[in-house]
Amino acid sequence: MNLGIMPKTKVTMVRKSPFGGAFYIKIDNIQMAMRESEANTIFIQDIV
Amino acid sequence: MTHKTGLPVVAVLGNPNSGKSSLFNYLTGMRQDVSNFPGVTVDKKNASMVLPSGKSIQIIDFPGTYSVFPNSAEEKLVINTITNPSDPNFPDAVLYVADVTQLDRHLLFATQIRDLGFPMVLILNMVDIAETSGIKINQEVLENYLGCKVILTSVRTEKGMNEIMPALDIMLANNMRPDHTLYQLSDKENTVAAAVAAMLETTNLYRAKLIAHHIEWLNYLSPTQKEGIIKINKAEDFNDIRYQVLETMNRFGHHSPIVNKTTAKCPTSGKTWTDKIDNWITHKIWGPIIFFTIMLIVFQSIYSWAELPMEWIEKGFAMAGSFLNDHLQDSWWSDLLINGVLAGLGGVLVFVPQITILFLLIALLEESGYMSRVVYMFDSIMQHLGMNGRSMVSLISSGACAIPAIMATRTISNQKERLITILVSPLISCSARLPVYAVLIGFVVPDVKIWNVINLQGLAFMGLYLLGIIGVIVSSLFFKKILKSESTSYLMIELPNYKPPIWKNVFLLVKEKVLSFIIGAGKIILLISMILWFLASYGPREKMQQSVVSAEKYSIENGLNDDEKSHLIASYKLESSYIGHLGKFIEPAIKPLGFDWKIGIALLTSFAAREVFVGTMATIYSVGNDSDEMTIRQKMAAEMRPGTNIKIYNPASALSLLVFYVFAMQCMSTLAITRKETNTWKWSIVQFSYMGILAYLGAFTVYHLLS
Repeated sequence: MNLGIMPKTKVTMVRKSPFGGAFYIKIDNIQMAMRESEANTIFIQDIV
Repeated sequence: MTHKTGLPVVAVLGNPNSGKSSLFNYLTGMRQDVSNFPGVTVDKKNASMVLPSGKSIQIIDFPGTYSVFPNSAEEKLVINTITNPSDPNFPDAVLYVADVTQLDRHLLFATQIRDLGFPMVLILNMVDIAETSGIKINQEVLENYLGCKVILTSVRTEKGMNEIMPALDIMLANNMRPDHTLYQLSDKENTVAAAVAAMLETTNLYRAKLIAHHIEWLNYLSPTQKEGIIKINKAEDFNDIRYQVLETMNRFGHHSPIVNKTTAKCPTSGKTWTDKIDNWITHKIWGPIIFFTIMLIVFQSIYSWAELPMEWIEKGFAMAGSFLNDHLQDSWWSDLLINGVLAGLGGVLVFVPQITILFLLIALLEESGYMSRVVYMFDSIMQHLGMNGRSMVSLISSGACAIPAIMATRTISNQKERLITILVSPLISCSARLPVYAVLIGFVVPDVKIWNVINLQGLAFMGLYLLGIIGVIVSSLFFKKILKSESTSYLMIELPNYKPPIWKNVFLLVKEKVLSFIIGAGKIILLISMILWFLASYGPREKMQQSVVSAEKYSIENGLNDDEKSHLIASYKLESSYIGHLGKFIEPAIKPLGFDWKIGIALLTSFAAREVFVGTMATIYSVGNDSDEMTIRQKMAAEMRPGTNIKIYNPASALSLLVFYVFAMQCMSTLAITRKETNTWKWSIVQFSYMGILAYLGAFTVYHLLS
């Protein structure tokens, strides 16, 4: 949320990391890397 | 407000990747002074500057921060400082840097800073990139909204950079503080904040709210204050995470429309450059392949580019040494100067070319944005080993030297992951081990080529590196099991757009790190080499005299020339010196590994730095310091175990010695850096012991399997 991942923001999962575990995610025009666990929290905050 | 320097403090604040540090480097140039923030190993870069009006200020570059709700130790430090007016680093004014292409997100922290009541100048950075991607900026809308000066800049093209200092001048002179807050506290927040403000005697309600919010970890409140505020929170049922969401949403709700008016975006067409590059660079299969290719090129260049300057430095010191030798009178202090101080200094400086090149290449990879991709790609592997994707950066640096590698662990926020990275990094074969490998490898593997292409010795070199990596895997798994974790681990990093590096910034980064190596490690290496000089030059008086006599007698009997004679005396003297006695003392312990007391001496002197091994061998086998590795090797090859015709350096003992050097922690400087970064000798001792045990067991196994 602090990173500006707000409700209604377009979130795209681009790809998984070569050895699994982390995701390459695009949020609006920025790229981010995060683990599955963090990606889950975003989803939850998305609903808030 | 009183500060240590008495100068007004201007804080440079902003999100990570906003170009904040580049801007700070640009403004302050060579005047930077790097120290730590009190109590934490977070670099505090500050500089004294004179504004156009003649007023002096102190500028501090704070760690990149996303908002007043921190996620890492570095962000917590920022919040601790900016909510505490009696902190010596508490800013009088703020220079806020935002990436104009990410303005919406970067403005969150700016509006919070403003509501804390700081006079502020907002820098919209990277306008060059905005222009090329068709963003038009109308800063007046933003100036009206925030009530502060907005400057458009680009560190790369130097646009707008000369407007910053005059703007600071005007801001400080007029003390332009905002007259209203952007975020209206909700009723509940207002009640809590009012109660806290009354207790702390502060007028800023937003600050009071933040203090209530972060009461658990703020470090400057007295126990009574803390208790009181916790009581207020309980009485009002002030549930903090909900209010964080409320505030953040409210702020975005207000400034997002403003941002849309400020930056008119052309519709972005399809994939950007970064997307296209990342399709390859972070590809499931190509990503790792590209990574290893880049690493190969990096190491190749370290070795090939550094060779010549290293030779110059070595020759320079040898010349200085012989010059002093010829022009100074023989005395203990000239000996100390030449063989202690000068030799030690040379031992430090000879690594400067390699370290500079490594830092340069790593800085380039970091500045361009590649390093965060590496973190992303290797995070899960590192997770299995109890480390973090960021540990990869350290392990790579370790290939040149463990010292910068350990320094680079500061970006790892989880304490356990950071500690493991610090502990295992020295197992990666560093450049100091190379000369040792070069001397010994010939005893294990013949110098032949397979299929006329692959050099067998080169292959053995690779094997030694691999052994180090296996060591890293085994010991990190071990530490993952036994160490307790205090905080949860997370990975969330931005993968910034690729951009060409700003050379001035790269140069400053490299300069800073090289200097910290020379000064930090140099002091210790110098001290140790002086101690070693003493131990090697002095011994029980009678024995020392006796050794000279018997060496002279031997020379006359065998008709040696003067040069040979003096080498022989040096060798005999070393044997009867204190360190010679130490070597003999530890001989029983290292005999099971196939080592004799002469190797024992070399192991002891290697403690200053591993490559000292070669020099010590040269002295022990009395070949003189200026001879090359080949001569030493011939001498060593001829060495027999006393009373037998078993060679000391047979494949078994040489490989055992090699394995010992792969694992053993024979580097005083690394131990010192570990102490510095962990704030306790405990982890240096742990590091020394576990690596020692690993080395001993490894060498023991190898020796007994082969002999």
